[in-house]
Amino acid sequence: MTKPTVFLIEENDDTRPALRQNLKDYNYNVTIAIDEEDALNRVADGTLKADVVLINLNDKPPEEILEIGRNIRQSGGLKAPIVVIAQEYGEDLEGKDISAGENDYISYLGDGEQLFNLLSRLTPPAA
Amino acid sequence: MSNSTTRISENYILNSLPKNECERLLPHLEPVILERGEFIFYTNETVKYVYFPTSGIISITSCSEEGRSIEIASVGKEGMAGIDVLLGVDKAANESMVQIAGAGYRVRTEIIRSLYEESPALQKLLRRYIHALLVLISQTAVCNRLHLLDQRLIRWLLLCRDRIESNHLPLTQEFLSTMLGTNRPSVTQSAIALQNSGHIEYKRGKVSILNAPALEELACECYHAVKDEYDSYQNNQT
Repeated sequence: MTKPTVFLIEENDDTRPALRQNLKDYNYNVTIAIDEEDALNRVADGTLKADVVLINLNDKPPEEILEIGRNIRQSGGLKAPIVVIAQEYGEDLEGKDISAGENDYISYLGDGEQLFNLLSRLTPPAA
Repeated sequence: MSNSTTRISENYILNSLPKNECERLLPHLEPVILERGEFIFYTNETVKYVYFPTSGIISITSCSEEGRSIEIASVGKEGMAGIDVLLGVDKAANESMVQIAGAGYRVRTEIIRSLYEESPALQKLLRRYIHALLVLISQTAVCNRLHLLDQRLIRWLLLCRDRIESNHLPLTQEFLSTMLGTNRPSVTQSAIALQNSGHIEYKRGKVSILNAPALEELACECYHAVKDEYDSYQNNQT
């Protein structure tokens, strides 16, 4: 079975290496973009393949990040679902994955397993 | 709030005072509960009491103009919170917040100042403690600037464990990210990596250290430098 590919758009220098390694450990292929501009460049020629777009941008509300993600997806002609990792939130949202339509989600992480459980539902990793 | 279960002997400084000097301090010690998230000092506000924890941990944090915080030191049962007042100032340079709930004693600022002037033993203990605190602050600065988040997280978890002498640390994700000066997703990803390698278990609101010796092997030199200094301080070594 081919490993599914996560297109990871991650601005944070602390998060990026750890998230990339964790995705690999969970048996995903990972394509990295370091910010919105880099992501748009990578999808520009329409050849990039991804099974899910995972996006985390600094200091922006998750709804705004979702719109940026949708713009990137459209620019690259991708069909993949988008998962936004929220940064600032209260305990009421902790642990929730909120559906944002079109098979897209905003994930308010509560523990270590949550993100990978969601990714597994959207695109199961290779056995 | 009083707490009948806390004991003076559980704080290293109070326990190390000679009997006659401890007896002078005794009538002024007020037992307190330290509730998680409680601020005991705010930046630039007058320090009315100093605190001698007997359990739990108090974090000293520095806050930027944009409201971002990072921990620069912490105080547990080995020390005293509010050391500023013995260094010629009335106001706290930084915020101090209870990171892990516990108990302790507080003493009014004017009382501790007076006793400090008159007690050579208290002077010696607190001077030695200030040195240990300086080592902690300087090593924290090095670690925060030069080391990856994984290493900072390991240092922080191990120092907490040493303070409360438990492998089970009641810490929220939000709290961890504030203490380490980063965001929540970063802490989560670093914690997942440590969990997948069997070093910790990370659940909502709780981190359990499963393999402390292995975690110590992974720790950067900052953890070991601070641990050595605090061990030396508590073994009465110069």
